[in-house]
Amino acid sequence: MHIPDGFLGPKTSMSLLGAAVGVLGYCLSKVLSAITVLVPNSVLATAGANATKMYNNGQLALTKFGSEKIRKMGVVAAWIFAAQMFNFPISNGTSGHLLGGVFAAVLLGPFAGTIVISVVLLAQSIFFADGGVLAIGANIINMGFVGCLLSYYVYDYLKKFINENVAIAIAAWFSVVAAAFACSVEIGMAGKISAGTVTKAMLSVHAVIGIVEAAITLLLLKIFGKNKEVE
Amino acid sequence: MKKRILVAVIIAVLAGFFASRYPDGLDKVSGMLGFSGLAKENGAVMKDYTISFIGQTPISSAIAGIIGVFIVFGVFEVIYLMLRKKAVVPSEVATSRKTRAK
Repeated sequence: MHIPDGFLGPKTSMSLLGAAVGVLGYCLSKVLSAITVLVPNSVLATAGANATKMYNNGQLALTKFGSEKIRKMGVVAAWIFAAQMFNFPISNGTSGHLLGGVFAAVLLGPFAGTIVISVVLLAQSIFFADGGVLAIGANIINMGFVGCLLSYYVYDYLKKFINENVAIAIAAWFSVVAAAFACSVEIGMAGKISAGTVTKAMLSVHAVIGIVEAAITLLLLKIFGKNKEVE
Repeated sequence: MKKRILVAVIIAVLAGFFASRYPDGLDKVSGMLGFSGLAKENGAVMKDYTISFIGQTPISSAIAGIIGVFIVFGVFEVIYLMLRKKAVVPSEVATSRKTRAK
């Protein structure tokens, strides 16, 4: 579902790029505050730190939890990159591949998950020409913001009422269909093709791809292991 | 962690050999509705998940996949090393403060 350059008008690309920067900035601040702790100057002094390095009220230091989290983000990114390469046939000459938004969100929480998806998308765009460079904002909004961050809350809400794996499966299906919908709207906004026609075609294909997304997400989570965590 | 990276590498290699070559959902739809021509092709060192001088073979794709796995993994390892270097206090101080805050 990686939008190449040319499908979107410059206005659409640029406004979505702005939106993506905003979303990522928010996610980064959330993650940074979760993985670091502010060490006050008084503690820094007793620990023998160099006084000239101090500023404001103290200094941010990576916690043990933070170290583990950030390295886990790298591993999850690696899994998603690899799994996204694995296109599976759907029907009459069409394939689909994992988006991995819910996989990332379940393992890392919505904010770290969105960052991981965005890093994967950036690498795919720069090194593999998969997804446009100008369209990177659109792709981050579709597969990161919609496919990971928003879909996390679908999972989080559903798991209060139903079995966790069922909640994951539904959220994974939703993530693909919702991302496809966002993608269609963006392509429609460019005005080169009617939004209704694109949406109809995209949703009918991705309703099927979403089922496989749900299955692969559950399978990968099972292989990855049980240490799910949030925040 | 090494085991988990190995799993990612295995998935990438398997993808190189067994992934479907059909166009994905968006590519198919753009072709069907006749707007695939709008796509501007960008160049990239590993375009189409293959190494250009090896060609469009499964092995080429598997190698490109392994490189990709290490690129995205590496991004976070570098951030980790940078943040860890920035920490001027022994980790026990930071950790104990974190526990107390809870």
